[in-house]
Amino acid sequence: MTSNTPVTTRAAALASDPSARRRRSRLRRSLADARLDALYLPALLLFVTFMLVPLFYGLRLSFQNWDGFSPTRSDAGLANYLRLFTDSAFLIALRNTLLYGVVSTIIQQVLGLLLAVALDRPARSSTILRAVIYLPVLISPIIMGAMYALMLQYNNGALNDIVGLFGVGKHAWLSNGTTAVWVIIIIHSLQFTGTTMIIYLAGLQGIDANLQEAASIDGASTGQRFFSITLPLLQPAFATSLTLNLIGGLKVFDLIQILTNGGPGNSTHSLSSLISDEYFNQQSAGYSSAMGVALFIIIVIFSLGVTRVLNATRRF
Amino acid sequence: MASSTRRAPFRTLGVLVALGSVAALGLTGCAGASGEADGRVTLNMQTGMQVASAEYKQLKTLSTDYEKSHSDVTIKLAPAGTNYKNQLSVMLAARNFPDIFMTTGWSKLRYAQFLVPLQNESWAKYLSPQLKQAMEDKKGRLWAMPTNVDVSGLMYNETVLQKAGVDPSSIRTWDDFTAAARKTAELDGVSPIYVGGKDMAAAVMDRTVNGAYDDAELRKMKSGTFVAKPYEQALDLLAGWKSDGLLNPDYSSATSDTMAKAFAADQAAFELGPSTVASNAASYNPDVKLGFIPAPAINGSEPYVVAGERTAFGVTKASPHQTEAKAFLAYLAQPENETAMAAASACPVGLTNATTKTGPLSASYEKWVSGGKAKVESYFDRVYMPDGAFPAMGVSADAVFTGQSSPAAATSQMAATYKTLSAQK
Repeated sequence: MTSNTPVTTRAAALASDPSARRRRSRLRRSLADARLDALYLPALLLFVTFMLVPLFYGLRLSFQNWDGFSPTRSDAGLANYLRLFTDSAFLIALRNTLLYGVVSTIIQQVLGLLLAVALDRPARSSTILRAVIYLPVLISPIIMGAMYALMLQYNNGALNDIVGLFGVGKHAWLSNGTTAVWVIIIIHSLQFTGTTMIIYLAGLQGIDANLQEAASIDGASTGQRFFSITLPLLQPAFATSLTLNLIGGLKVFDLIQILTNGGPGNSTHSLSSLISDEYFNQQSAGYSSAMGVALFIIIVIFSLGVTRVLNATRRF
Repeated sequence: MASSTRRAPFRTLGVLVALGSVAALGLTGCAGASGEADGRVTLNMQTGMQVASAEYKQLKTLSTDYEKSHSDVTIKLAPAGTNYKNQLSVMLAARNFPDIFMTTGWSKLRYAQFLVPLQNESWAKYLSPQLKQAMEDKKGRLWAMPTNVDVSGLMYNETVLQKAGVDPSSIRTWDDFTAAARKTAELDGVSPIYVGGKDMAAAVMDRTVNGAYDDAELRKMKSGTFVAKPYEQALDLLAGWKSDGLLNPDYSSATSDTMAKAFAADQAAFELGPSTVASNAASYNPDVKLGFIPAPAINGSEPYVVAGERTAFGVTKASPHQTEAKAFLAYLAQPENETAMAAASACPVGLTNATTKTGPLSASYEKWVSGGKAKVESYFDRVYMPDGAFPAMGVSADAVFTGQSSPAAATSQMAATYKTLSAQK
């Protein structure tokens, strides 16, 4: 019988019943919430498809033996993980990854901060220099690697031509593992110093000029103002750029592929490039996945550690 | 307003479902399956060849001619990027099978599981004897149709050797070779032994290590036991070249292309790599005079040339158009087409009913291979090493060439890799 009730009568009943009004309001709110929630679905779908599924797939693969293309694979148990501790190539790549991450971060931090302080002035030359320093960030590391490979090559390489002007003989810059690791660190650092500089510049421009002026009136020297006012107030910029630099350094891949392909021997591999090498060249997809899991854990530990330290020491 | 509010979530959901359907349709469109619209058959063929290569251009010409005479068939050639092997692995792992694919020298050991046997095809009886060990399995099954053979030994630049007063045919041992290389070192701007960096280091091992093993040791290697001493002897040989200063100084930044350029410019005396270097060198300098001699054996046995599968095409089991794909391969296998394909790669033909026109290496090929004067060995890694060992051989040679490892340490690393790869099969 309820279905035959006239709409006007039902509306009047609802209007006179406060609990029905509340129910209707709650329903309207939950429908609105559901509509908003639905907007998350595309992002969630992409995240699950391209992040979570590959993550769990890789995790499962790390406990298997697979050549990377055959229809069959076998269980490996913990063998792939145990192999990590005895594989000299992995240990070299682990050491290099830490070097690429930590040393390039230090270089980028120091250079980026110095450049930001030097160029934090409203002059046309500053604007041009900022753009010039930031430009390499826009270039793909693959192209950057190819450019440097040409510059560093033994015959007709720009670097050997330049040192030749000073009477120095030609040098094979990438023939020694230790030298090649440093070459990669320097190129990576120089390419991404622009990002650090921009983050610090943004931080510098957010500092209240009155603070500097007051300190100056009180007789503080340039150094005192820098270390007591500028540097502490740059802490949020420091936290952001440090995390970005570290993650970027730990993930170096393209430069290594182009410049050395992991050589000489395995001496310049990072974990990222070794993972690719193991998967495709050595056809050890399971072992390669175990390395991927190890790299994931290392990056998580680093990121959490850095965030924790920065939060603990945060003053502003 | 209330009804529009109620309908909004469903509208959003509807949009999402529509987007999902479009995405699903799009992904389906990316699949490698062959189309059959209008009764026409499209054969998807992964060529493994760079689009600018002479070999790809020749294949394109032949496939266009085939389409003209077979109006119901379209051949869709896919050129390769810089790393075809990786690209192919991803396609096979994703079960995104082409109808025909180039087998990168591994039709028997690696890709047989995806291919249909072709030994009953009319052209199969003409398979080159140099390819039988590499391409036929124990049951006589053949998994791909070869359009050439990679035959090589120690490649030399005749002009450079003449200037240095070296007669290549007098080189019978590695000591002879080292002495000859030292003579060429006296010439200005010449690298006695040119190796194109890490990527070409494995090829050096494939041409030196074979002659270090005796038959008993080779049997052990084949049965899963790594015999270290001969491997280390081969690396000792490489370390000797390095310490004698016979290696090109730009080794670490060199590539197969710089190898070809050095030979084309008469700046390199010897190389131990694939015959493609010769064809590339000839493309830079058509007048370059090149040749090859058999590689001496470290253990003093007979010198040998190495041969193996290079360009060969297989038909996938999953192809719905196996008959059409086999027919196209039969067309490529016709003597005039096989001859043209092999000539474009500057390699000998893979089928004996065709004619070899190997370009700059013709005379050496006639002398050593056609004339039967040299023993022919298969690539060492494909017979005596587990699948996947080739790059590790390159790493060991690279580590020795650059002084990163001693021959003993590099051999230990190779032994560990051999054990791991054997265990995971």
